[in-house]
Amino acid sequence: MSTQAPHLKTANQETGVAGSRGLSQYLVMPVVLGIALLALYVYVSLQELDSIEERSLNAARLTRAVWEHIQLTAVSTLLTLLIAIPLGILLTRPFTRRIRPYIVTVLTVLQAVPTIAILVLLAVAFLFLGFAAAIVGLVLYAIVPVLLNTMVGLEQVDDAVLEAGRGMGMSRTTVLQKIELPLAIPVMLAGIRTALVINVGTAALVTYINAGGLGDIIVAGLSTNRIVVQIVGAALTAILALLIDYIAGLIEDLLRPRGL
Amino acid sequence: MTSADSHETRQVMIRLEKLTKHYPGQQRNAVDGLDLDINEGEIVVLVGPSGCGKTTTMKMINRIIEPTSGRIILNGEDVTRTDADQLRRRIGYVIQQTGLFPHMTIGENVATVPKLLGWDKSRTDARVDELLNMVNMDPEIFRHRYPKQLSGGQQQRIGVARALGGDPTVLLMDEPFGAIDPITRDRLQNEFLRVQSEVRKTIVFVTHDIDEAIKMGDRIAIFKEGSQLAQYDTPEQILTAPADDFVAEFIGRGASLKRLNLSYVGDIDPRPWPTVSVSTSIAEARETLRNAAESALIVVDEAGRPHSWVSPEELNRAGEGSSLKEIGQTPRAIVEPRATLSDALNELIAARYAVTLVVDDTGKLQGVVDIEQINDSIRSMRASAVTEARASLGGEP
Ligand SMILES: Nc1ncnc2c1ncn2[C@@H]1O[C@H](COP(=O)(O)OP(=O)(O)OP(=O)(O)O)[C@@H](O)[C@H]1O
Ligand SMILES: [Mg+2]
Repeated sequence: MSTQAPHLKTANQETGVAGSRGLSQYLVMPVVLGIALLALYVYVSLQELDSIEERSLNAARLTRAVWEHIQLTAVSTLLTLLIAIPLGILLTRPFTRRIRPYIVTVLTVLQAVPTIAILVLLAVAFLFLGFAAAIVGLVLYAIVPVLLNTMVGLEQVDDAVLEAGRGMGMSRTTVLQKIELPLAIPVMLAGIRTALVINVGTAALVTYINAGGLGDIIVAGLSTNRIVVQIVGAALTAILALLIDYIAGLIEDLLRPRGL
Repeated sequence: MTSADSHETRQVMIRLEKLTKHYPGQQRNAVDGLDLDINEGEIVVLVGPSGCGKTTTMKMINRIIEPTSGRIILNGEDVTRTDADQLRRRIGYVIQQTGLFPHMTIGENVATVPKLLGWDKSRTDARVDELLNMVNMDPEIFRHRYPKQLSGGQQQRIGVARALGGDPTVLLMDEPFGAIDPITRDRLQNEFLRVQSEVRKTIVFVTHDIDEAIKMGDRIAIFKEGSQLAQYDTPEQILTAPADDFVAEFIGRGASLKRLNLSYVGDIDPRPWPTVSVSTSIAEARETLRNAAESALIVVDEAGRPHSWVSPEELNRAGEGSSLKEIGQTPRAIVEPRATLSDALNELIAARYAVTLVVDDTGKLQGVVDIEQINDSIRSMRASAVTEARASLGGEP
């Protein structure tokens, strides 16, 4: 799924060139996704479905899978933010300068381990399965981009601006709230968006540890060798990923401070 | 540009006592046992070669850099250990890179300190407008703009306005005009001096440009390596009686010429010059010129303003019926009393009769200045500076 993300990014950048995006440009993605959904529906209704396919592709089951998928993505991303952003702030304060390189190295190495390996490890070594285990795996994987972007975003703030703030009598906390964080937001949001896209894609894998999601549909299609089911599962995952990325983009545009 | 004697009577606003800064890992102290008094309402310029500790000294005053030892006394109060945030709200701070907050509008930037001080909205808004007007930036146009929508010079003006936000008594400025082109810099310096004549802050101004120091400073502190004071005195004294070879070398060769920036045309009496009114007849004008030692006449209009120069040749060529209005050359070298002698010299070098005309505020001719008068004034400045330097030596055991 993650191959979809870079493709979408370039599309966004192209539309962004013209300055602030017009309303019509904001409408393009929902319309495209709507058409894709419609096409998928028409395609499936034109097929002669056998009983296995009928069972996999009923509305209740699909809705549940989509809903589980959204929950997995939302909860894991939220937890990621709750951990990574404060950690990122902490790791850019002067008093953590010494330990900073070690922590960043550990996290980067951790990210190089494939998620599926983490999931399997959790399941096999700790007999840890289901929703909670899936969340742990997803969070571990998504922390790094959010953390690194938070740190980069905070560190790229011009020293002169910070000195001016302190020089006028702002406390450290005020400087963080009023200057550093607002100026770091664009970079931080990019990291958060990456985490979201990673999570929505990786959530398709957690079916292997019984955590549900759209992965259920794909795996059902694979194990019964039903192409239509596989296509529906994959297409829904892709559409959901694109939709979430689109919403994240909207939020990014909304929260980006003016004047930058 | 106050006169040399007035600072003696004024109150000390900032006193630095044995102020020392040692950066970890450095061999020498960046600032070493500095004693310095800065009087209320004066601009003291810290100047010296790169790395001599000017910035470090200045930033210790608002404790952006904490001193290793020594004391900082602000208006009689020891602030070396007090709450730094509270202290800084009383001290304006302008830095070279402006440090404007890019995500805040110009209005929000200027309102920073008033907000920190808890002023209400109407008082803050009024203050922002007042300050923007003070630095010649129309509030209606600029209040809602963002810093990146301004030119470098405009950003620097906002930097100054923002520093004045909480009406501080003291202003610290670290090379505020350092990154600006020479023409804009000159304009900003003049503008700043005008603002200062209104607000009368105590200002510590860091630069490494001696010309800027001479122009801006009521007193100049020339630093050697390690913040050792080489000389602390008025620009006049430093130019005319440098304390040692280091200072002399730092001022450079142009010291006499630089001194001309410190005296004004108004300080010297303009010399009279044969002058006739435009209504005078050609014959009368010829008569006046014949009896004069000078080689041309100045023609003034009904209001006494310079109209033209006429030479003997032009008078001879002119027919009996013609008027002085129609002949002669428009004068170009004209200065007002507020112009510096340097300006006057510049004008007269290129002028036809080697003099520059002096006019008052209404444009009325007062007389002329020539190179002899400028020379005399340099000589007398030097003499009085030497006397003053001798007097100060005589006072010590
Ligand atoms: N943060 C720092 N850590 C270590 N040494 C420093 C630090 N800041 C300044 N120094 C050293 O202290 C000395 C004085 O520096 P300072 O910045 O005060 O000089 P300056 O007179 O302002 O020079 P310039 O004209 O180049 O701005 C220099 O030798 C400099 O290398
Ligand atoms: Mg400096």
